[in-house]
Amino acid sequence: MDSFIYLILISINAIFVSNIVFAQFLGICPYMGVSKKIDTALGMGMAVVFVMTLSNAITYMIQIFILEPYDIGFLKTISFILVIASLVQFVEIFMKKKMNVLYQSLGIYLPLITTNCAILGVALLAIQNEYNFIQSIVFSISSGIGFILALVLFAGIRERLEYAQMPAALKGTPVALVSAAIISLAFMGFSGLVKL
Amino acid sequence: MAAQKKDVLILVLIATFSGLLLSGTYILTKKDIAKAKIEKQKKALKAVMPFLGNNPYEKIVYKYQENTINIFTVTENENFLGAALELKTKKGYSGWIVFYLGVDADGKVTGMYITESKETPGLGDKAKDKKWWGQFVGKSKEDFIFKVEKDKGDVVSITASTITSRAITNASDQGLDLYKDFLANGAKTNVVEAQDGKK
Amino acid sequence: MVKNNENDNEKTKAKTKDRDPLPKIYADGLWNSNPVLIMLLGLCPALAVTSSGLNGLAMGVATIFVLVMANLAVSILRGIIPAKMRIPSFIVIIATFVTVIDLLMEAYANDLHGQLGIFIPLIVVNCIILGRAEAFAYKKSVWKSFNDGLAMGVGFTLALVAMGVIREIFGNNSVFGYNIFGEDFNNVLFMILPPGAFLTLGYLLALSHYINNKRAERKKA
Repeated sequence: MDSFIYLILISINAIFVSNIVFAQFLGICPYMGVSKKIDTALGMGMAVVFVMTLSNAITYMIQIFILEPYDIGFLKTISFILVIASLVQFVEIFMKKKMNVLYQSLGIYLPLITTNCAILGVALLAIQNEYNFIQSIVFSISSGIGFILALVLFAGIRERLEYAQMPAALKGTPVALVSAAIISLAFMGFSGLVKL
Repeated sequence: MAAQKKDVLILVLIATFSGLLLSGTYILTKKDIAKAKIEKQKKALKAVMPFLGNNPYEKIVYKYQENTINIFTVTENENFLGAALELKTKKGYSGWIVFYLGVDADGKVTGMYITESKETPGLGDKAKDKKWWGQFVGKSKEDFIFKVEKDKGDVVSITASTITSRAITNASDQGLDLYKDFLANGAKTNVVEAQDGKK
Repeated sequence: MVKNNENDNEKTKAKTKDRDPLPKIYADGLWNSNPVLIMLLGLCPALAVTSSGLNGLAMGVATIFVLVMANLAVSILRGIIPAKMRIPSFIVIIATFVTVIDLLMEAYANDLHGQLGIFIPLIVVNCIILGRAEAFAYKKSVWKSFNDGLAMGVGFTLALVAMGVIREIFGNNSVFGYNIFGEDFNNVLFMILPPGAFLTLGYLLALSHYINNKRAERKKA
């Protein structure tokens, strides 16, 4: 029971308290590009959660069964990123065949998931926080959900911002970032919610 | 088919070359990385144990209940002067906090030095200031309750950073219990691995 | 197969003028196509490690190393890297140099290494590096690629240092560790916390937009 509660705490922490976008600064690049419409944002988010969880599972096993026993920890970066890149390739091929509509709407953003700092970041964080396998999976799914939350929140705001009046210099990404600042501030209110 | 084979061969070549470069760098830097770690540790030990001086210290891995921690003991001419406890807690605001707590032979705290923490700058990060941890110095579990005021203890929390304060205080509390057990067992038994560390 | 390509290259070289003179490469990297301010790449580290000027500088220098080395390697190997395998090749090359700088920093700059944390390995997913490998180093000469890497890297570093210094001045009352306003200054803690990062970047971007808009207006007039 204790460890189950710990799992719930990990997920609340990952979604709200240490949201990977607003608190950890991971996953910003696609964020700025994709989050203009809510449906693409959701689709992108789902793809990210999928890749994030699967890659986390694989990288975790690589860490435990290969890197640690043979003391080749320095190969972590290169092995992890190759796993992620290959996974994204597979997802792309799969989506092209079975979910063509979504594939078309995501366009270039799908291969860009490889360079999404969030995926590699979460894989590295799971190791750093010394989670076990189940905790790692819960952590990555929750981080992904936190990412979707951030993306969707943002898409909504950006859709509105398109029609707002403001100085020319602020239009586009600058005002998006200022909005992110305010949301980030709001998310800071969650601190202390979870006593890990 | 020949073209594909050639492509794969080139990829393998690139991978081999990068593997060589990586292993080479790793081998070259291995010693210096270890050295940097030891320097960092020495700095912490010196900071928390004013009685260290030029005496050698010994690292003992001590098992207590379900935890193992590293205790660095200092002896001068066969007299046990005290030790530094390497304590870790995950209950901080963000990530691990790793710190050293210096204690003398009577169980009184002699210093605290935080080596790893990702706490909020300006808030939890203030735990590194002597202004905060100074309140632990000279106190032992006999005359001081190592819990934050919110938990009915004597420790004054950092303003607006109860989480960080609580994490470090509780870890220190547990560490001191462990140290008491260590002393009671003659400061030697339950050793899992001993390693000499000379100046 | 390779010979035909070489002949074509010679012909195109003879026809077109040098489209990438060094001054242009540097003007692009430092301002016109500044990776952070104009191309909006590398935003993750720009936000995460700029809580102080020194951290921003350290990250910038590490990135310059990877950018320059990766550009060099890709450019040197551009004749033999097959087009279909180029992304995996780039990734292997970039990841290698990221690991090298990670190890070097852990050995010789341990404190900074601890400060930057997971953002050092995250250099490998910094879109700038993959972007330049694909858009520049894979197609241009070694010397030009080297300079492009350096220019983009310095541009990136400048943006990061600017952010770091601004946040540090207001949030920590210091510049590179040196106290500025004396003891009585009330630190604006907000600036070194996450919201402050977003805000600083937002306004820095707005400033660069403003400057560029003004320049465009002057050119029209």
